[in-house]
Amino acid sequence: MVIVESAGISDVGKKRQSNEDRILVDDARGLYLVADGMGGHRAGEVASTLVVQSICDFLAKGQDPDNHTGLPGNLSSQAHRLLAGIEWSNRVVHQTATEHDDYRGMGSTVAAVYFSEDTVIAANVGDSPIFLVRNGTINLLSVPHTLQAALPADAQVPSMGNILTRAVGPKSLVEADICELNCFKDDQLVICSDGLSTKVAPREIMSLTTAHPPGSACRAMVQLANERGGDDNISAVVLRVAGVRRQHRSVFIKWVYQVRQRLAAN
Amino acid sequence: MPNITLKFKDNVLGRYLVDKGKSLTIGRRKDNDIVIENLAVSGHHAKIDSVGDAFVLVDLQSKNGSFVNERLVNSHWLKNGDIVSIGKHFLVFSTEEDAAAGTPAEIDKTMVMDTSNYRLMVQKSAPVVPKPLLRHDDASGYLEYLSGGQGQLDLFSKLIKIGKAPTSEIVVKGLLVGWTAATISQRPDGYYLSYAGGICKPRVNDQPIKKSVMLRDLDIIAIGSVKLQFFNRSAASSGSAGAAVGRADDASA
Repeated sequence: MVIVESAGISDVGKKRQSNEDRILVDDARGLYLVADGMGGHRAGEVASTLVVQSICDFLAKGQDPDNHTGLPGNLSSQAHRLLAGIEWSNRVVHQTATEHDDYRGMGSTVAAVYFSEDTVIAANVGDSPIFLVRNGTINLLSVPHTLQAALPADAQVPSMGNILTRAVGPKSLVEADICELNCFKDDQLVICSDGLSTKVAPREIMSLTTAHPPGSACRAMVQLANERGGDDNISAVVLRVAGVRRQHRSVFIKWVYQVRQRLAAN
Repeated sequence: MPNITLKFKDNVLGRYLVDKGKSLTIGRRKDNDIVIENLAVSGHHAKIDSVGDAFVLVDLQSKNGSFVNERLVNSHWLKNGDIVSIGKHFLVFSTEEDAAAGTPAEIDKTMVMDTSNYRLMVQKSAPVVPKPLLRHDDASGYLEYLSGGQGQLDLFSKLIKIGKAPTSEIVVKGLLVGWTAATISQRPDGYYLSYAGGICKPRVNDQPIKKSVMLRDLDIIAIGSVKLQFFNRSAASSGSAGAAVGRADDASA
């Protein structure tokens, strides 16, 4: 059982007329999403809304029977459900895009954080990053699916920063990158859209999230991105792990903890 | 004289002569020789220079790139019949005389970039793009038993469990070892060992690990009676995946 403090803001920014970002903060389910839509007219908003809704609905549909033996990657069943949810959302967006002419070619990024019993699962498609702040370092848990990232660092072909190599929606199938790791008390996770990550450096994200609780860290980051131009929609979700209650399998250790709890209660 | 025909879909929007010894600029701003009023086009997107008898197209670090015959180019020697696409507009380069000059049509300002077409073009230029560093099916890291077992274990899985549980990849016996004592997770920038449970903490190079640590080539992991050494086949590449986060901001939009 992972106890999480969370906050999320999505801001239209200063240049755009509408907000194509969507966020989801669901403490009950331990699910946190950022989706950055793209496509003309209102298609970007439609795509990101569909992504968030369909993943949320998919994960709400009860748990699968516990048959996670023999699944690839040795991930937990929750991780597989999240991957299946992202695949499902791709199917929903792709189908809507092919059925409506106005929505043709629409797509969305997705960055998802999902908590299992004692691990955190990070999955993404597109360029919305997921950062882990732990012990004074900040690391990327997501894989940026941009042309820029796929090219070797020295090949500075015309700045291709905004071209995605993968997105939810444009194709009938999509593969998400995923990683699962043990989480610890005071770990912080930051999910954001590229409107934030292009304006605020990872080091600044780290110092803001360590200095403030999630709510004010979100506000400070969005404000900073707006002060630096606010060219795109800006979304941020900040999570802080307040505690991890581990399941103890060993009878002896269970007993030790029970005694300790009783002593503490007295 | 060589010329450039600007087209949008089937409409000819204009025709421009390319003179020897002169260069033509292409972009959204009014000071260009060829103005394309579309947000997908950068202010100064590309230029065509005359070099000797030939002409070369040079992309001016544009945001969305320039394509010649559906391939992304930085610079390209223009041949007769080459089709340059910039945003959703096409520029046809021709060295032949053509008397039939089309009438410029209205430019649709509320146009949307055709992302699916655009992606197709990007994909065509993609063969040069190497695959991401870590895939499901390749394992750059492996563990070798130093004591408490034998052989070598490729780290294919995204999550490897070490502990007393019989389902663990690496089973370790001992009273103080947790059911799942430690895990190794595959992250975009490398492998990380994390403490997971039990009184006995895993040690990496004799340092007890309370939380998690990134594994480096030749690190020695010890849990209970088991000792393992970590090897990374792509030791040089670790960490470079994370370096691509900060992207250059382009002011052309």
